[in-house]
Amino acid sequence: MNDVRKQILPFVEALAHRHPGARLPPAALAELLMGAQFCRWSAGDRLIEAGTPVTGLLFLLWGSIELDHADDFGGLRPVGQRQSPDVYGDRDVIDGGLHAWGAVATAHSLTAHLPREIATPALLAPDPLGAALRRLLAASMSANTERTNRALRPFEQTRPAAPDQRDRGHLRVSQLG
Amino acid sequence: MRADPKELIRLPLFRHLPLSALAPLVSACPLIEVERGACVIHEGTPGDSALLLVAGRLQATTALGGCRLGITLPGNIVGERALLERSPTRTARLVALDPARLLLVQPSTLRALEGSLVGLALELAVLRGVSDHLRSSTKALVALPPQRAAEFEAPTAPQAEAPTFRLPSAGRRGQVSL
Repeated sequence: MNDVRKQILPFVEALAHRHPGARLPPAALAELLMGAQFCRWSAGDRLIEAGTPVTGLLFLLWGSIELDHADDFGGLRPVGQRQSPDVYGDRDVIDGGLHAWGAVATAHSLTAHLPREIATPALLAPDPLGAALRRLLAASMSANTERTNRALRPFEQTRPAAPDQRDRGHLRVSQLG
Repeated sequence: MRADPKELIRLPLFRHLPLSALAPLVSACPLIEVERGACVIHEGTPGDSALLLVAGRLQATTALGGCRLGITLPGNIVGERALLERSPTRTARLVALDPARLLLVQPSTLRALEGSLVGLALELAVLRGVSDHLRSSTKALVALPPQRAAEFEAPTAPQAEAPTFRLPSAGRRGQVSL
């Protein structure tokens, strides 16, 4: 095993451990990542500009990133976070499209960018690695959906209930005087 | 009740498959028919299977029915987290907007179909479904007033200095265009 693959393997194993349901074969993914571009980032560095084309799958091997969204007042609002080890991408890796959100590093980070030319055929392949990649990406997005829905829930509970859900029985006509 | 392969083949996810490729799916997944207004997934309950919508439309809502997350159209999978995790809690409520027909997909079915064309089509449908649901939820979060949205952002866990890497193509920012 060459030196680079040896260095990638612990991160891939950590990723497999984080998403056990993906049944990821670490050695096969490490091999695939040999075609990735690796990049270091410092806190505050912008990795992704919203509205730019999706160019591949981003493996967050170390560190953390924050996803953001430009609001109507010209400011940036955080819409999610990703902690290593994780993978960042969505259906646009296959279908093509633009990044809906921007991303900025919130700590020293190391990423492996797997270009679409490699990522898409791998995701569409009817083989064990392709199936594992599909499960991995789906598991990662699913975990983030669950977290986002959980964030939405307390807000919804502070809203007045719909008319048919209100308790109309707690005040009697006699109490109104 | 079993689905008609000729109806399934018209769904976008199966359109490119030969009719015979759908046989294992039809035999493994029971077909469920529901009336308009029926709740097919209850928020907060554990889930052990996913549903592939064959006909009709489903409305997703969350928390007291106040937040509408989107409408699911035929060919899409809902409750797909049950295929990825063990008995996850349903995070949204799904109600049929029309009389609907759904295929019940168990995790064991997906595993059994792995490596086949119909299995690949299902896995891609799961991927697209999760992707769509994440987008819908994030858009709903974006729609919150800024101060409320910020409350829900977990603080970043402090991390140690990144270890030293000697990867040949590892560069500083700006060297890789994402």
